[in-house]
Amino acid sequence: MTSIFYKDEVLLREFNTNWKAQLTGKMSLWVDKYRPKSLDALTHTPRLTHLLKSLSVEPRDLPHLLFYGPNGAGKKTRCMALLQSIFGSGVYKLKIDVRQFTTPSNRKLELNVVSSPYHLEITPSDMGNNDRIVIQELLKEVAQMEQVDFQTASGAETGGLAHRYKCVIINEADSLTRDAQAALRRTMEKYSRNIRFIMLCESMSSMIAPIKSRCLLVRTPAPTTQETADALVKVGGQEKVTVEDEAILNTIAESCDGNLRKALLTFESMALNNEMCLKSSTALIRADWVVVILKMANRILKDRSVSSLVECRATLYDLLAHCIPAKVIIQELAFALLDAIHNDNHKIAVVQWASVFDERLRLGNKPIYHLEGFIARVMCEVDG
Amino acid sequence: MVGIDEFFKGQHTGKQPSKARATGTSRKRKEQPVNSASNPINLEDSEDEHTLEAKKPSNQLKAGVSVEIVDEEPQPRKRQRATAPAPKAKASSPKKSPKSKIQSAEAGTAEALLSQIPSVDLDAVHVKETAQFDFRSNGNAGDSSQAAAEEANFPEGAPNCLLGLTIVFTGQLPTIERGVAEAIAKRYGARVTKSISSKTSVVVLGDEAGPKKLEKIKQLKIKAIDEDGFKQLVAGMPEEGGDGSAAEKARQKLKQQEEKAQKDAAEMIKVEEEQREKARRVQSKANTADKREPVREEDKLWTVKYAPTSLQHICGNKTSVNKLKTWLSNWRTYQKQGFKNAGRDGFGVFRAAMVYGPPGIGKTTAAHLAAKELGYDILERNASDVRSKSLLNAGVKNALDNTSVVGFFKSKHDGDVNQKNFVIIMDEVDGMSGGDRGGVGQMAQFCRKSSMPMILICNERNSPKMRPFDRVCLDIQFRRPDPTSIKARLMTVAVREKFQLDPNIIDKLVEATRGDIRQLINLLSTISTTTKKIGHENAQEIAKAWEKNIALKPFDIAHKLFDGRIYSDVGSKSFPLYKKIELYFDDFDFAPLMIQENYLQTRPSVLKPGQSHLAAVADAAESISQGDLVERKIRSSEQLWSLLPFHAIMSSVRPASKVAGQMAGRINFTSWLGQNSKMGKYYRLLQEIQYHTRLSTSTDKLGLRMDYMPTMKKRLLDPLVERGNDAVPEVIQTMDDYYLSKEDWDSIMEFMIGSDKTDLQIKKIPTAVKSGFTRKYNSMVHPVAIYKTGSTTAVGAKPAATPDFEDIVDADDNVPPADEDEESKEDTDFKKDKLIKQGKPKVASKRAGSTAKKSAAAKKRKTK
Repeated sequence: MTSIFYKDEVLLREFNTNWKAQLTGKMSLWVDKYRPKSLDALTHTPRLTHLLKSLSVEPRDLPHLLFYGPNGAGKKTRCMALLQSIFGSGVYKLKIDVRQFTTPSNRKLELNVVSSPYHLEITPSDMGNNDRIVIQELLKEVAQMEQVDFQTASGAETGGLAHRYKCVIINEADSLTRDAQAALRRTMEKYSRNIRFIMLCESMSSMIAPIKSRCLLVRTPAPTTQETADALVKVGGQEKVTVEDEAILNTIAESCDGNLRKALLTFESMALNNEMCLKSSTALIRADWVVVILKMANRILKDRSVSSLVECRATLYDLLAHCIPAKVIIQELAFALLDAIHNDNHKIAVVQWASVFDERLRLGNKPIYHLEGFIARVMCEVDG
Repeated sequence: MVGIDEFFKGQHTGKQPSKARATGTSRKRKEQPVNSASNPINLEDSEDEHTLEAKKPSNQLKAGVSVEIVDEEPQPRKRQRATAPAPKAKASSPKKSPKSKIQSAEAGTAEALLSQIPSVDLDAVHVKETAQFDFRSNGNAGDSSQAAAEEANFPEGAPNCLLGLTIVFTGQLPTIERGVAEAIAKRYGARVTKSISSKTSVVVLGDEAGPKKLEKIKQLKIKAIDEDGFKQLVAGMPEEGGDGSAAEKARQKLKQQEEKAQKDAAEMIKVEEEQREKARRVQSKANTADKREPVREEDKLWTVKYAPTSLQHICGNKTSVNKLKTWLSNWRTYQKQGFKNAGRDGFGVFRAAMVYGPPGIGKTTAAHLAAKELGYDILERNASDVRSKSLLNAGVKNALDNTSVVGFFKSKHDGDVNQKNFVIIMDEVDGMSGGDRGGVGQMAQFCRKSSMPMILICNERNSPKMRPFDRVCLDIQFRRPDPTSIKARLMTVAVREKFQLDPNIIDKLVEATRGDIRQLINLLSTISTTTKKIGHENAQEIAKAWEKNIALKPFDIAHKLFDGRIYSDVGSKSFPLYKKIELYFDDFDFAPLMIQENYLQTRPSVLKPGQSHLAAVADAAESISQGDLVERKIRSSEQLWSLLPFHAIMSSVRPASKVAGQMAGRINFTSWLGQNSKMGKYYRLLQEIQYHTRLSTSTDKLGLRMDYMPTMKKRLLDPLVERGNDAVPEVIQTMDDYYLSKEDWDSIMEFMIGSDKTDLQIKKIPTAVKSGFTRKYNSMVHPVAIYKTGSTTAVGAKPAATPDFEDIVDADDNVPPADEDEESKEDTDFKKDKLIKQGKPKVASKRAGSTAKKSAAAKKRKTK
């Protein structure tokens, strides 16, 4: 049944060259081009790397893992590096296929599943509230299937038993609904012979306790400013970027709050804009939406009036429509305001209202209401 | 009737002091005026002068009753007289009517009776302060059972006994609701006004009257009485308002009205007779050819029967009707000027007029009558006709440049110029719906170039659907006519139909139907079949039953909620909280959205002293934000629908109350819906891009948007802008690396906002480069990340076959070729498959033969 995909040789060639390119690291964006592919290549947090290495030594009893840590800290990279050390570079031969599910209300849903021969990667939160179905149907189906160990040759290097189980990576595990998490807990135990879960999430607060207790919790901390800068130097060296002053790298690292991905992308943007030459005076490039938020913060402080609020609403709608999450907006906005305000009382007020409305954002339905409320309150406070 | 004895006992506070006053000193007298125990009575000496001042005789009273103001000296004597009837009544009989007769015998005129009733000491009246608004007490205002009880408690007077009096009620009356009191006064023929003027005959003062009003009373020297005084007045006045001159005048006026109604009715009958006669004659002339009997007058609907037959007969809206007529009569002149000259009234530039207003007030009738009076022929289209773009083009467009055939033949005799012309009346324009695709736009187009006058009629001028008509039509608004203008017409109908209608209750009926004349006539028609009389007894009931129970449109809801008047202390009495909540329930999906959309656009009139507009807006915004939390509880899995009233308060009433006032502009339709679907669209695009890039990136959707996209845009767009064609291969390489399609390229560009917006940059790219880019991209084969394998059933634990694994290909090469049956089955499979391009047999054949299986497949393709 595998044969149908080999019919068109042209395509096959195309794919093969592409895969070769990918495996030899000719991706265009630096962040993907220089992504560490093995445990040895990982840069920051050596303690964690050590832990992962020790896990890969005894792959037969790999526990369920729960990686948690901020965005851009390298959760996925570490997870893939671990899999690579267990299964070999086959794990990087990814493909996507679309799976269809039917909800009880007879709606057809589609989920894209990324997979290699050794693992599956799903993002159940793509399905919104129907993520439980994914967990129940897809995972059970995978979990109930005994993995056929037909490649004994490659099994030799990993002890011959590594293929017995299949790894399932669950992205954005913190946005799994409670139902889905509940559906997951028994599967994790019952089929642990056939399946291992690696869950990735930013915060563990929304994970239910039974899940946490079944996993080995792996905290993936964000790299320090120095570690980020070091990574930038490494990439810069390979891409032949002239960095006249290391200070600029620190500035980038600091502006990215330990998000290495963001740092690398910013670094690349800046390098592209300045003909591969960074001076200490080079202007920091911020993402489009950050610029918009900064401008809005200035407007709020400068022109505290109802008409200004009307314009802020338009900006907010623009941001929200272009997929900037409300919680990011309120956070960026609050920090931008804090930077621009000098009166301590006002600062306290901003923090207070930001926290009030941040909570409401989570409890409510329509983000624009709360963002607008926040801005109105801040205007009032600053007005005195 | 409730026992009189009890009733009088109940008001001892009012009576006893007055007795005491009869014998007592002037200071003692001051204790009496307000009978509520809670009312603080001012005993300070310094107040004395004011008291006297208020009681000085007044010559200013012009109209109505010249209230006799009593001097300090004779007062005790008069008091005795005034109090005398009460004990008498007590003694004589518990029945009211004898008592009132006794009294009317004593005091024949309102003046005389009023003079007997003690004046209220104005300074002792508790002036309203900025008291805490107690919504509970006001919530009862509309409680009909209570109101009824209060009314029952009230002494019964002779019919029309207050005729000719103009009464103002102010403040809170101790035992009866103000609304009820007003209704009582109206029932007995009095005119009830809200503000005090020189025409006011008497003021009924309650607690917490406004200080301004008190001042005015003093200034105009108007007789002020309290609730008890009012009761006495009602009880004491003789039938038909006694013999006072004002009562006489009022009586005459009533009589005139009645006579006029009768005259009108008689005239109408005459006209009808004539018509019938004519019809008969015509019929006899035409004789047997047309056997069809004309509809008998009695069989006609009342609304048809009594429809206005000339523009003068239209109730109310005189200016609007005139506007329409002026415009239509000058239409030819405007046309000659090419619709360039606006003219003094600004009508000259319009080829079309838009008549709008609530239903049942004569818009269609007015349009028809105006056309008829000016001799135009009429072409009418209404909601019963399909009015889609194509049908309008087919039907109406031709008419635009034509002349009327009817008019053509007629004009031979009359020579009237307009006869040849006709006017297009488009009724119910806002009724154009899904079926009438493109109709509104087409109609607006007609309005721009029509060579015939067009009259468009709609109810909702403000709705977004009607936007295309902005500035193409002369807007003529029809408002609900006020009761007085309807009264005469209804009386005519009543007389004509031999139907008793009390003129005093017409107001009530008009209020119930919200000025809808058509409905009023229908109402009369219906009632006439069962009873022959509408009086006070059944008016309430009828009004209630016919009360228009229409759900308001979101625009009207927002408009009403933002009206500053309903939040004042006075306003909230007539429009209490529950009614505001009802507004929300008229459309509880849209009301909160409309409030949120428009709360920044008001000019607030409800600000507390020292509160800035911004602070009010912040309060409103916070309330809206809290309301959203409630909504979540309602709409989420918890489904707590019982919280809806709470949501009404938090999301609509409270925020509106913070910023209510006047609207600074037109009420906008909520933009949340549009923005929300826009967001949905972008999230779908983002999801798509993320699926495509997922093989190369490790991030989630939001990371992709927030971190990747700015840099991606630099890689994908900037080279094209800077280097043109040379950069195309590089850009395509990047796209292939991330499995991006050309559509993804476009959507990534759309994601940029603010100063990084890509529209301008894309415009800067020469067209040649752009098309070169597209051509180059299309000419190449690109890797695709996703393909659909159909259903989930086939795929097991082992992932579906992977087309891009070299090692597996090698392994598979050893597999013997599958037999033909299987092949053919698979053949149909990959026709559906996006990945396999059927359109390239040449390439396929060239490479055929590498493995047995592949060649088999290739041959298959060649044969097709």
